Amino acid sequence: MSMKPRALVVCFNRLLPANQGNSRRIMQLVGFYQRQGFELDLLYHNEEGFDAGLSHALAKVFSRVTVVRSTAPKTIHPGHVCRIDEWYDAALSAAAREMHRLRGYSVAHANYIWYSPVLEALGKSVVKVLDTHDAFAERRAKYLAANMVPQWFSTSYDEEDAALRRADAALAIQKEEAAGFATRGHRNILYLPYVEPLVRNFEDDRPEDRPLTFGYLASGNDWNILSINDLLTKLNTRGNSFPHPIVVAGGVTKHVRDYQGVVKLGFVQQLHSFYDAVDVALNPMVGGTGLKIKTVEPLCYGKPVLSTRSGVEGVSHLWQMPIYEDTEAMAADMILRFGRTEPQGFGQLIQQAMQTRASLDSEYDLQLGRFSAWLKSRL
Amino acid sequence: MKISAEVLVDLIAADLVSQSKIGLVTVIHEAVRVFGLLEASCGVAYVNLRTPKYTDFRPVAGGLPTPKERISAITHPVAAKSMIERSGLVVMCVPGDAGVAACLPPVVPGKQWWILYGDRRAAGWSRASQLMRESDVALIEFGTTRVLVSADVVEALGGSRQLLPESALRHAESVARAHPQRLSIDSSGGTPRMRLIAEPVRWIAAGNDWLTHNLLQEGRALFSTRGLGSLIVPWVDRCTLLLLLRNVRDRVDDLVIATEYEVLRPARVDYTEHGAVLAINQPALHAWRDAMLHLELPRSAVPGDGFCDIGALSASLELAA
Repeated sequence: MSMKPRALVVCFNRLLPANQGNSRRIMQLVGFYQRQGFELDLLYHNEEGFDAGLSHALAKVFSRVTVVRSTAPKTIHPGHVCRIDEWYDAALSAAAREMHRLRGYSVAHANYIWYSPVLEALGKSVVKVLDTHDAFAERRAKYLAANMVPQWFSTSYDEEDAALRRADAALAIQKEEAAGFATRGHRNILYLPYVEPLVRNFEDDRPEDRPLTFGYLASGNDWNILSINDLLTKLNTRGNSFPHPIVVAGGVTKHVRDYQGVVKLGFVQQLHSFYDAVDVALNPMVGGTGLKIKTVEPLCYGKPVLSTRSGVEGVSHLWQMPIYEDTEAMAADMILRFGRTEPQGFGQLIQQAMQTRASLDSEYDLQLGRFSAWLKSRL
Repeated sequence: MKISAEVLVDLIAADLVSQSKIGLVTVIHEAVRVFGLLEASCGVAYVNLRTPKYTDFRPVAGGLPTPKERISAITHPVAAKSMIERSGLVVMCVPGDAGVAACLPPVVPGKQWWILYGDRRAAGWSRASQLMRESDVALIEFGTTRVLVSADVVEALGGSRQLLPESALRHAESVARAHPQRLSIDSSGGTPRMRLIAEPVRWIAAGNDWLTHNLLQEGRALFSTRGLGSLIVPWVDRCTLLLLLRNVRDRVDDLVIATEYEVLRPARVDYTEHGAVLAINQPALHAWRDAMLHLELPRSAVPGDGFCDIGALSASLELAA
């Protein structure tokens, strides 16, 4: 009998409960490694807190958890330029090196490009995987193009290229990002989309006495605030106000202006309690970067999604529901389709959602299979 | 030198890893041990031939402590075997009991360097020596002690004389030069004495999940809320321990200290603004028993709203002629 191979996961995210998109992505990969027969250890760069509850929860998933305090200066230079060596904490390299010496890893899996230096601390025998989560080179430009103040991490192409080269495989969460990395000459890119298991079937099961209800669940980041307010403004400046309720939930709620028919739910404890209350999810993104979890999340709960092109970035090649160029077009079509008391084409929308979900599942299985085959070939 | 074979081997191994790039170092012992000098030099994994009842910890620079790699060869033979096979240096105290020696995992002799030591009458020698490549060993005996090492170890040390007790001071000085913040050498009435300073979490042991959980959470060498604390001491030889007990709410002169065989009293207690400084004259401990001291604080000294902990720790041992 032989030992289970060991893998080290490195992240700064509070993984449990996994109620943020990036945590859920990481836990999905954790599940993947477990199914591949790995014993998993965690090197947690404590940026999101560490308490008794988290400690207890992590101990159920990981064999060893090493917690390193965050002391990286995380400087943002004028023009919103960040350097990986100022966001990375050198203490992580020492901790990873010692963990590897004692535990002997076959695979190291780091998350986000500014954690890529940790991969250099491990020997050549370790297979190194970097999950990029987003493309961070000149990420600031997307904010500036939308007249917004750049947020979080943004770096140069050179820095991102150096980070990608530290890994044997870099995972891109969107097909377009994978293509972008490959265009810059990287040959170690694997595209792995984000899809969660189906928890509710697609069916028109709304109670007879409930009007067709639309919903938007999102965190309170600038992109989300701008997007939903933009859509609601457009829906309410077309003479008649939109006749169906729109439920808004999550951190974005407190930033949403008051409109007729808008129900502000605020923070929801359980996702299904939100999705059970709505019939169609909205995703009116006017821009943004990285994984847009609200694009694919409703499809786990059996709900169709109306989205702008920005919202389906990364999965547009699989999308079979309507895609709108902007919130103007989205508002116009919503009024046309659903503005009457008896909405048109809701059944068709559910059919399109089912087909989209099936396409996403096929794509995910295909890409996960490729990653799995690559991993096996390297071990 | 009247130091035990175990302290001598700890010195030799610590000197070896300070000079050479060795990789993982694993100590195999039937009882619970902390090789204090070796741990001052590098991270150490342990394989125990009896299932340990305690969890002990290693500090993480800039972070919270994490459990030491301590594997029971009885409950986790595959992991123990893998650990040994991954090691660059394996140090083993040869079991006195043939039954215990039978728990040694069936390791294929490989590239590891080995240091085996123990009483020459120990029943485990036959089984233990099978782990080494026969062509590659050097045997040294002094008194009732036998040391069997890989020829590579002898070469790296610069000759078999470096394995004799007379070389202990030289090894100690070498380790002290490599790790001056952890080991110092001074003189006590003309007798050389080494003083080892350790991070307190390195020697503390938790006997239950509750204390383990709190210790990992707080990152301190905690006593339980009932004032109970256990230490895995770095040396089995007679030595002096100094402990700084913090957050004690009353005098601790009546503190109870127990080894597996006897109850001790502190040699001295000084009270400072930082806490109570406790001096313990540790007796020599049994070669094949857990090297542990169990401390029980008076209930009046235990805070109702927090934990007592050990804020600093040191051990002093005379390298007596």
